[in-house]
Amino acid sequence: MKKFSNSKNRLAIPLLAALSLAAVETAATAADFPQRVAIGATSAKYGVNATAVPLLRREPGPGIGIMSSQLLKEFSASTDPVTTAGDYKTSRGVDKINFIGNGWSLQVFADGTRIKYRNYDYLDGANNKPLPVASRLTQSQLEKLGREFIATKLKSYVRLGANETLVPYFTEFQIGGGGSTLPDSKPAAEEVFASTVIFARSVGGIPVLGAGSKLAILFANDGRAAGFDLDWAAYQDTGIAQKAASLTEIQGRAMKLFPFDLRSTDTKTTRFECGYFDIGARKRDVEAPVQAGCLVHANKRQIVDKAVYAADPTSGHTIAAHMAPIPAGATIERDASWPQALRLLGLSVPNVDVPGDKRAL
Amino acid sequence: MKQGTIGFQWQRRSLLALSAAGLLLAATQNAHAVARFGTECQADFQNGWQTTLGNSWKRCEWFNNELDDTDTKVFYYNLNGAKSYFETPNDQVELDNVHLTYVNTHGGGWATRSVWAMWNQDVLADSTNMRLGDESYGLSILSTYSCETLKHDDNKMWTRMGAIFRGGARMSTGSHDKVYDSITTDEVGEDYADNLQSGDKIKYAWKDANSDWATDQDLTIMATGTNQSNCHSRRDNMKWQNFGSYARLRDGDNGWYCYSSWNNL
Repeated sequence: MKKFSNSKNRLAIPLLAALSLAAVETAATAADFPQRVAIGATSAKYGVNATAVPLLRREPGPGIGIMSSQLLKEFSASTDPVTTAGDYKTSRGVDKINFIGNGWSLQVFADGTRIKYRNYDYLDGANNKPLPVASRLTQSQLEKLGREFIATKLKSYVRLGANETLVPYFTEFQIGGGGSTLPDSKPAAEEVFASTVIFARSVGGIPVLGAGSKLAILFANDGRAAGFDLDWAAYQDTGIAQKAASLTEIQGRAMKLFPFDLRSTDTKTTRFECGYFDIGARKRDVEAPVQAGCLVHANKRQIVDKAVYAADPTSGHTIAAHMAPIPAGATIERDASWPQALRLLGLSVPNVDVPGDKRAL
Repeated sequence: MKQGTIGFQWQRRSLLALSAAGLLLAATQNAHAVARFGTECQADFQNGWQTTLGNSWKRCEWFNNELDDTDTKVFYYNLNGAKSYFETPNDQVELDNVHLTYVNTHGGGWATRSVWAMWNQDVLADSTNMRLGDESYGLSILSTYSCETLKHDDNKMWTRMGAIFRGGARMSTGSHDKVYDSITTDEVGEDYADNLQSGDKIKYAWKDANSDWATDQDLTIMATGTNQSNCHSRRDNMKWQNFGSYARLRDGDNGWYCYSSWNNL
């Protein structure tokens, strides 16, 4: 296997000033772990942050039948909120199988490497008291709880290779609020009902972006897990290196592939994160390797009513929000599930759109 | 609009009005046999006045394909000329002619209204012109994959959305900030339909369908109640299978609005 070196200073920072992509604004929210903030900062400076990356092969999972049987058996005796105890109903879809039990549900997708479990009855039950927002679980608490849950309950499903690490990514909170409909009423104080911690994976120090390699653990306010999502396959090094495109090249591709002008003054690029791109078990092209990519989140605040906007700058607009995975290899591997890759390769993207009907006017 | 069209619409409206009470009664009592739904979506816009939503047709068509396995698809329209069918003049023909309408277009949360972009240049559907749930079958659930229309951080959510709920609509699902168009979110309509069919609470059906952990999705659902606890009960328990068992709250019946929101605090 070839060795690959990181080159943090490969691109000079002053070069950034010349780049035409709008500055990444408010890239990090308070919910981002420092590791994710670092991914954004490094990506903005260096792109993929490696001269080359090994192309990866996403190993096929055991299939939804085997995986669901294993999960149902493993959690059947659990007295925790994450349980599959009791009777359940089963239904099958094209690429998934659903189990609905007493208060819980389990879905297994594709080749069995994508799983969703929820016990919403526990979350909405009397034991889960809403908390003031300020009293919610902290990020460090959630990271600790998440790691513990993964290590004890998901160890059979979340395996890390020798050069892989679990990366705390961000947190999310379920908030409830509202107020009286009477004029001039003050809103009720918001409360927290649940908290989720999301982890990603890095391979050889390169973060995996996209729906693949994601773990989300959902916690009730008492700190007990009430659900999880995982999209977690084993990766194998193909032994083939993919040279990384330069930051300038990646940004040029983003400008070409985005549906709106990223340089426009009404546009904000809120995230620019580079690493591997894995679209996840449900959509992936099983023939394609996992290769380098950068995820770009941007939104355009378009003024559509100038008079309203002039009177009140918080009004008169629409918002367009777009996220595009931009191929970041100097050469791009064909991937049928990745339209941006196909376009850059000059290949046609199948059009399966069925537009809405015209109404009689 | 053509005269003939107006005449037809009014004639149809009259016929619908005659049967409205019976239909509403049937829809309410029969909590969920087979429900009716429609889809209003747009990908491209006249003269490019709005950014293309490249995955809109997939989002909507796959929603249709899933939900019509169990329920009745009444329409799947683009947004050319759609404004009056969102708003009071013709809503009995489309939005109020089904129990659930799924919408995908660009949105905005203004100080006094929520807006949805139509195909037609410079034309917006305006929440303050929308009173839903009081004609034809009566809309119960308005689900819009659009930015900001359920914004709630400025204490103006009721100002923006009140008109819609005053007609008796039971729930709205959408976003308080951004929802992204992307290849990673083209399946969210299908998943929403699947979750509804599975018997998930509507709030979780929406949340789980639209989260993929790769995209910064800002999701919110909204309900109303006679008071705070009634609102929470409706928000937290309503399903596609039982929405009809919740009383329609019209005008002053709506004493409280409430929401669930998923935020990166």
